Amino acid sequence: MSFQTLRVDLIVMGERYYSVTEITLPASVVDARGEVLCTGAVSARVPTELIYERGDMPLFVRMILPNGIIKTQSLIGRNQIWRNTVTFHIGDEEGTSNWMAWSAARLDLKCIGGALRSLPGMADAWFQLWEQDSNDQRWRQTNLRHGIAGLHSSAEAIQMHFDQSSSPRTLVVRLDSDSSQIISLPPLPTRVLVTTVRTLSGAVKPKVVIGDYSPNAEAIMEYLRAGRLGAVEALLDPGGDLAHRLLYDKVEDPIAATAAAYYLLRKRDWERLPDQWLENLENWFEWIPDARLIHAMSQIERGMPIVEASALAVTTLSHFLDRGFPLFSEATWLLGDLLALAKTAERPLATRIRRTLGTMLAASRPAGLSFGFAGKAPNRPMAAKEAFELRQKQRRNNLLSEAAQEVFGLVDATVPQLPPAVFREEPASRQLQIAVNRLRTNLEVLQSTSQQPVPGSAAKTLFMHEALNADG
Amino acid sequence: MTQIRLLPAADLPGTHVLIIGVGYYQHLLDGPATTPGMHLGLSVLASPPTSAMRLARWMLNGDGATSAGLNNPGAPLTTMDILVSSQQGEQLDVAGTAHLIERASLTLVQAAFDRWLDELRRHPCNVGVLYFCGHGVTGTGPEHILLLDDYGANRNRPFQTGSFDMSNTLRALWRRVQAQLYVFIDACRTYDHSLGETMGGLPAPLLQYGGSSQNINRGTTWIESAGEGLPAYGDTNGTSRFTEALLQALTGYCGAPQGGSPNWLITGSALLQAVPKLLATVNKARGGEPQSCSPHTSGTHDMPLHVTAQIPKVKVEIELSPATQRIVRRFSIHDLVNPAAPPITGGQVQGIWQTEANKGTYEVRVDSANPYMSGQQYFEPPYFHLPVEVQP
Repeated sequence: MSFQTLRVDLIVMGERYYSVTEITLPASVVDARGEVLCTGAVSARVPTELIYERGDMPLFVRMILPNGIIKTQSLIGRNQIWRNTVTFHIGDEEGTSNWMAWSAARLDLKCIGGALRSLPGMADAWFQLWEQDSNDQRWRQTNLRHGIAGLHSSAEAIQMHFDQSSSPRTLVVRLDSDSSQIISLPPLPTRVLVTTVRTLSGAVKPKVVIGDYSPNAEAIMEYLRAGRLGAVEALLDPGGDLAHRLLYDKVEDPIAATAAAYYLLRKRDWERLPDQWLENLENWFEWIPDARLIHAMSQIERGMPIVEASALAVTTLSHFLDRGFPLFSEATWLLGDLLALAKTAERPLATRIRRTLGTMLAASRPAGLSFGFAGKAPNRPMAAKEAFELRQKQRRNNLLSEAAQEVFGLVDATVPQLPPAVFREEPASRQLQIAVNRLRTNLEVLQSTSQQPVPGSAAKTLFMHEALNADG
Repeated sequence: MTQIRLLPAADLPGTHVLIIGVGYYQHLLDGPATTPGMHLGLSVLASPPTSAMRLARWMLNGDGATSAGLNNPGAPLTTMDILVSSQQGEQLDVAGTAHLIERASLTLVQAAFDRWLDELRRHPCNVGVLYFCGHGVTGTGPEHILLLDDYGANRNRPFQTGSFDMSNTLRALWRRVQAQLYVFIDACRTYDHSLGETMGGLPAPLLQYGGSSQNINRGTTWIESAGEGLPAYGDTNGTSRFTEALLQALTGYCGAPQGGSPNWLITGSALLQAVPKLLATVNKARGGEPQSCSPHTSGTHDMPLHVTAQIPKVKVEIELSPATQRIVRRFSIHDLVNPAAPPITGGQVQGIWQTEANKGTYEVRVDSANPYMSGQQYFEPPYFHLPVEVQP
């Protein structure tokens, strides 16, 4: 056995890939069983050196991408000589559009499910942009067409670009269901990709990917969401450059620092999550509402009398919604804990805020790593009862539709095979055909009327068909 | 009381299991004492007793699988509290002793929970498993309320019996129990208007807390079988989708290598990787509306639930395009670590090609005019999908 040094290069491909040099991903040297011998954070900025111990057994270097793809290379080359350098290329998946390349690290482009327009209900899909007024904290719809700095489209995807914003903002989208979804947008220049993905269950679903938080924040939050805590641990290795930059130099990338704090809170790693650091994160970056939640929860979980914990929960939540919504869906867990504590406080949370937050959590519908919930507008989360009734209605329609399609299939397979003359002499078949045609028409009417009207201003709304026909 | 004690009480780490399966709801539709207006539109279920008993049998003796049940050398299975409500009643045979399983009413569940909690708190390195399968509902907030078999016994206070608040039970456990927790909740999270519109008297958690807000729990893996507001399915009155996925994970499709040993650890992280994907494959096999689970892990430790010598298996799918080539082409999967191992072969069938392989590093080859070679592919349990395009 001897210690060896392996140089790992990371090359991020793709036209217009953003901040390529900033991305850092975890890599491991593993044996044939997958046992990790060493890990490290590999940066696209400079080559990274991993020091590992090797004997005669074959070893591999493995990189797990935030999109779940695992890239593996043998450390023994084809010439049976141990390799001292390996290079990983990411973002070179077969995307159909160059402008989708930025999302390759988070979205498996090989799982794109086909044309957007062909998904049921997508012809009537729409998008709205809402901003929160900093004076009165009210949410107002703005004209999305004016808010978009750029728009790309192809059959499989559309991508919207938003400039920086001084106000908290959200995207409200209605895709394949009758209910719309509110998705928190960071106030930074942001790209929003809307595409289709095929899930492991085989269903094709629309997917919204919010980008430009920062590559490292996105990687950490995607790993956290997928339960790949080992990958985050490798990134935040205490001796590593990234950990140093995120945990001690948060001015440079406060969103990634927030992502790291979410992870350390989950791990209850209080040593690496000092209270002063969190206090600074909360105070210096008011536009990251997540920081306030993390700070409060870390104080509570470290331990304090339960009466004080309840009071802190009330204080934290009382004006929480005045600064927009949290950026990340991980906030849902924290909000749930704080709300539960606030209910036991001596001076309770205002009923309106308690109800709004409770409804929002019950309607939780994240967009990947981004915070989101079902609702008609940012201040109108969908009540659980309404969501349930809507779902029941959709289910009934789906069942009816499936049953009708089966009838159509049976009739189409039998009746048309009859010769025209015979068909005319078969009144029962004719009546059946008429009944089926009526059923078909009724079903079309049912499907076309099942969709809810656009809430807010339709004039300020961008419809999917407009987006698909436009390209900037 | 149905506490099955497998090892004597001692101040050593052990695994303590609490299994609750509720199918035969006394006061719901089709139950023996249906309470008009109290049934929430819900009926008795066949799947939860089957699912709960299958999990219990596997933990105790492998349930016919090649392995001999739950194996955790660091915290051996010490007690199992099990409560199952089924029409016919259930019993478990353990080491020649027949145990009649008591039904899952609130009083009995509370007593079992208290016993389980007492056991768990004996040692910080204990492992606790809490499994529930049955009806679950939510009100206007995010709390997940689980229904027991005596729900609705009292017409005036329907939630007084037969229900408890799972969300806040878990929050209390984090403040009261150091032991590693594995919590599997196989129940719907759909809205119920009776709960949503009830003024006061909402179900209480099984555990309350006071004193300090400190989270003392070493680690928790918590998997809910459905997302917020969504249903979970039992389908065929057999094992529910989620429990099927969980059992598949425990019996071979999940595991991380244990350093310095030939064994594989089924840890919280490994389950978090495996169960959602296995649930997706169960969805695909059973059809209908897909169900997706909601996994979460926290804490400083990730002590294993199960240790096995069996190399984790991977369900492999090769999706060849154009589809017309699937009937004429063949594939072979070559083990790159052990080139002497015979390749796994198949193909020449319609649909997505499916096979299984042990966890490892392979190369997939497909014959064609220009043979396809995938290069090194790491098959991570439980599922590997490879889209392949060949020249017709």
